[in-house]
Amino acid sequence: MIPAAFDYMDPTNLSEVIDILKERGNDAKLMAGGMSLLPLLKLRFVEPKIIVDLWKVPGLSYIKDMGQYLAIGAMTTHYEIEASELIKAKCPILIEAAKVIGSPQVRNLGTIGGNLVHADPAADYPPVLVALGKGTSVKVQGPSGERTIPLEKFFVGVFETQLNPNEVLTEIQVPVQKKKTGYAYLKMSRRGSDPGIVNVAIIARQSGSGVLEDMSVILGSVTNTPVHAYKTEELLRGKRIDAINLDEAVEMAADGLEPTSTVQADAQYRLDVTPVRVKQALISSFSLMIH
Amino acid sequence: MRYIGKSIKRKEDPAFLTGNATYINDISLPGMLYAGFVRSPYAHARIIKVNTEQAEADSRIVAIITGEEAASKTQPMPVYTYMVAKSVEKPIRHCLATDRVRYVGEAVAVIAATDMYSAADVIDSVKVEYEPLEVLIDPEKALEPGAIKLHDNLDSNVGMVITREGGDVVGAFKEADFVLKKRFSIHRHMGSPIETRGIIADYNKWSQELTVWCSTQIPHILGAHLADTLQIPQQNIHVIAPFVGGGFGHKLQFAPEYVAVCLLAMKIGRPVKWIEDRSESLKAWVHAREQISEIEVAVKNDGTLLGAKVKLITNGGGYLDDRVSGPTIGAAIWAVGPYKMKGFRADMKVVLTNKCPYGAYRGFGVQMGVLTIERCVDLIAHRLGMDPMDVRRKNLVTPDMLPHRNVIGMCFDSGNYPKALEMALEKAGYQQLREEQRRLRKQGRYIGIGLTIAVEAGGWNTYTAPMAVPFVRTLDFANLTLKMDISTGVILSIGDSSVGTGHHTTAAQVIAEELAIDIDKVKVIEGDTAISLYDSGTRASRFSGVVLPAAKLGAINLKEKIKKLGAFLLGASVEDVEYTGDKVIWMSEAGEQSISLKDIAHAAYAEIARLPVGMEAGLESRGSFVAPNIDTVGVTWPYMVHLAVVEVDVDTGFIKFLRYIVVDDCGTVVNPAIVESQIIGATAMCIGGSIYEELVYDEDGQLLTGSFVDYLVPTALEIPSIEVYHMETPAPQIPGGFKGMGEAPNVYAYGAIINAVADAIEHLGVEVTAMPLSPPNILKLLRGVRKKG
Amino acid sequence: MMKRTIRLTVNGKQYVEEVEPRMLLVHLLRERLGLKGTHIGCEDTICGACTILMNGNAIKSCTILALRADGANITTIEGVAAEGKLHPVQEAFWEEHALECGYCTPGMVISAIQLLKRNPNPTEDDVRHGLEGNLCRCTGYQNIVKAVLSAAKKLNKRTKSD
Repeated sequence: MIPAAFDYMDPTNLSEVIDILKERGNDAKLMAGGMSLLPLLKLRFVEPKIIVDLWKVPGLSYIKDMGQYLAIGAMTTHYEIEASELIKAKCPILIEAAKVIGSPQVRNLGTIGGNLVHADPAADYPPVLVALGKGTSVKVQGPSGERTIPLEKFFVGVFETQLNPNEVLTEIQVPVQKKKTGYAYLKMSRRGSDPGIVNVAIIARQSGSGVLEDMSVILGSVTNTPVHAYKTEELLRGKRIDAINLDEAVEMAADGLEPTSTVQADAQYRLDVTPVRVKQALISSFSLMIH
Repeated sequence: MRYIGKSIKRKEDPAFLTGNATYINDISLPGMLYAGFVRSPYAHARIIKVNTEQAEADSRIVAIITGEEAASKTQPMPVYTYMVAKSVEKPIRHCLATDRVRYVGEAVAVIAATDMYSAADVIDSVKVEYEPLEVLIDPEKALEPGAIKLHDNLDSNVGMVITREGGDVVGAFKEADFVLKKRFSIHRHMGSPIETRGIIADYNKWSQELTVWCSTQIPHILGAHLADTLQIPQQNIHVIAPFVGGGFGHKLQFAPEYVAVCLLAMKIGRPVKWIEDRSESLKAWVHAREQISEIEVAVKNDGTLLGAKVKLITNGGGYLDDRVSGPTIGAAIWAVGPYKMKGFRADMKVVLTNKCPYGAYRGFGVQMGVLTIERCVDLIAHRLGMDPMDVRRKNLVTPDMLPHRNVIGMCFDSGNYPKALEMALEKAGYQQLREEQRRLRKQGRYIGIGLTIAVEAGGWNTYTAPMAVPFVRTLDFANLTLKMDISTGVILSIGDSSVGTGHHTTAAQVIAEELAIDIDKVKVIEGDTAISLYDSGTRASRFSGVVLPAAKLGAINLKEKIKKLGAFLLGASVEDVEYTGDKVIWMSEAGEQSISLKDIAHAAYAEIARLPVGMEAGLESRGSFVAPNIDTVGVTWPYMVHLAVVEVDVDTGFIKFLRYIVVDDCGTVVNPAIVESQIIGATAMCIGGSIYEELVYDEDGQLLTGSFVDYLVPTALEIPSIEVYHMETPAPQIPGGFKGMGEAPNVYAYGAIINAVADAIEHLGVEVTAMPLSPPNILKLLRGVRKKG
Repeated sequence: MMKRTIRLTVNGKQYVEEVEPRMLLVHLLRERLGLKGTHIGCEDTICGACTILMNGNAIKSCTILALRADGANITTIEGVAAEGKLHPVQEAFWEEHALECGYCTPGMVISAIQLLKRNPNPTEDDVRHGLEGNLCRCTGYQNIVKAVLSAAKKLNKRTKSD
């Protein structure tokens, strides 16, 4: 219940944070909302010597309309995203993810940046962000300056991202969902909004002639990182919705994947259930596209 | 009736609602230290060495106690049986492990630290060297010849053997047209109240007095056990139970940790507090429900249930918890059901394995018995081409048979079981549901209807005396005291605990009704052994059926005294006066004369010279109720019907509740809202236990579901709306007609849910016999038989 | 491990406290400020018994450092009943028998207050979602849901008549 003792710093600007990480990076852990870090500290699964708290760093919490994309500060909370009229209008699939994270209390403190950096395989934003495709990226700052990482390359493994140890994630950039985009985020949990067992994110767009051109089917929590259901995407792309055999399209959704086994659900369960959930998500997303 | 039968707002609630109620963790004493336990990371290991050198040098640690010291200063932990046992092997257990650990989380040493945060820091400074041993987690494997023996002083890993037989079993099976043979299992889970365990012990070395605050359901019994184990005179032990944040049977446990904390207090002479972490709780408190039941039912082709034989195994864990025999017996003998069987035999075993010890959990095993027979009833019905409800109708004990001693010795008191069944079916719209089921099946949707009906026990006639000795028949009883003070306020003092079931309100309703006074004049206090008579505690659903009658009788006694004194002060004979609640009235020849209750009270306390010779001063009374002297398990017999309508998603294994109906009869109801809340809460607990909650061990005996992240206590999203309908048949043998019902609602849902799921999908070619009915498990069942497309 | 001084307002009262970095807010409230109404039920940020309002948001006080309360305005259960009069949510809980052992109740009340502030006319489904972060073992939630819906009516009536 009680964390091991640590030193604490809450710098008031980003370059100070980066300096600390440069000097003491191995001993330090960054804290954003604390919703992933503190539980680990309390169970003493991690015992960092220093906690570097980002809460006093200004200019990390915002949602901005940049025209082609939205810029979201890393310290923006899930609730702020859930309640954002701008995101509802321009990138509503993000809200589908934000509103099912944890619990109302967790959403008041948890941040999108913290969620992405923690890279829990069951996390809700990652599959949604991957589904949004090219144009989704994260901005990070480190000792050698700022760089942008395309989101689809960001997640490397369980609790592992492309972020270097001395870097701080500062911004997430999401493309504006074009009009009449079909979308869905379907989370499957054993209980409430617990970490999902099989999460499905869909972005679908029809061309003028009614043929599916953009088709992203992303699976979360099935393996270590969010992955495309490639075979399903292939079978759907280029087809008219009324000419699709959905059962056939989803049958191979988990093809080639080696699902994880957790105490909540074994690998075979994930294999069995993935096509079902993909089908449900597709139906839901298509209905948005049509209407 | 002014109060009985009314859903009075609870007196306890304003304090709870404003954060002003005291629980164990809210108590602080000057100089208090904080205890922490060093626990085994191994499920089975020899303890080679316990090295306290580093710990002793740490100034944050004030005292350390290891198993060796504990064993030299305490008696072994007690074990009792609830019924005659063929043999009761007693694995020796002290409050801290000495030479061997037998489950992950078993306490090996205890430290007292200067503050809460330091206690967490210094635990690792006690270094324990282990030699891991082979781990046994499966009870059937533990029974195999050659299996590693968990306790050297036992012949095998069988910790307890109990047999019970009644009626003509041989005859029943001879007469049978067929025998249905089935095996059912319920998985390991636990009650997990939101408040974990907690205790504060304070010892005065000079007066040799031990004061213990504990989140316990049984203050008096706890004191008695501590006296025995610590070898302190019982009169020197004072136990106080503050408000308990949920007990559910788990806080009946006489925990080894309690003894260890008391030892610390005795060693140091300062108060020591221990508040359990949730991870300790899930690992090392008490576990429950993990049982296997093999049943054979002797059946006639017309659907008559002639008799049954049950073989029951409880996975008892590494040691025998002091109450493990109860759920073992409950799980077996309740397979008789509310039916007219001719013969029944139960062979029960508690098997020891390297898991956490198995203790009391609301319902006490009865849920397994109910599930077993009710599942069989449905299967028998299918085999005979009968509706399962017709099989029930054919076999239920009928009202004209009551009171009825069934073949295993349960003496059902009153009620109408067939009527309750019909009410449930009518409320559900049973026939329409069957039509709906047929219609939906054609669409590839699978709904199921599952029902359980059973008669439960409210109040248990076993293990109620402070140091119950096995093999002696006893009866449940309650003694309590009532005091009306000089201002006519009344205090009722009971030696049980407040665990959230509204005692302060319900008992006040009974007292206020009987004394015809305002309920605001009645105060109920519980939980303190120094100011209450012995009571065996808040357990066994005995509050309504045993404690309330005592309260009623105590109020009657008080009323009689008030009348007697009032009459005397008026110069009347007691037969000629009437008591109205605020006065005693005498219709004399000279007209109406009266004396106010206030004046009577004043006389009783301040004008003693006016009292009749031989009358005690003051206005106090005692209430005492002893269960009828019948050789039977229960004091009262509440009963319910649970009917679950579910839809099983055969693609994901998820279960959706379409409806959940309860018909309940718990005798005279004092506060309907309190009863209804209990019923809904208990049903929710069982839904959690049937589908969501699982204590999963791996092959090394490590608990994989050791936090609330993985141990899935349901949220508001998982629990459906539950419809509750009432019947009320007073218990004829109980003053007030009340029947206990704290546990009753907790024994029906498992069977109703498994029957509903089976009803939904067994026609697809699967057999549903095991819990939990989690989505992965349901999909596993269906995997073999699902057709594609 | 350097201690720091924080300044916070709890239930309208101002406090200045010296805390070590690892101190959890729930312990500051309970042990240091003596506000025992906020309860601890787990260490996994699941049970919600520790829920309080911080700057108007319901948060789990067991999963936040006390240092983060610097400059914050906190309401615990002790601060909900104004001037000795129960809040409509507390009243509704009492009337609807929405509590048994009372241990989860402070957290439930706080979560309900946030729920109704953000959604004054919730459906039953909204209520169950809004209480997802609060476990109850005694009541099965049914009366709690009833109480929140009843409180919504009370609060709406109050707003109308203001």
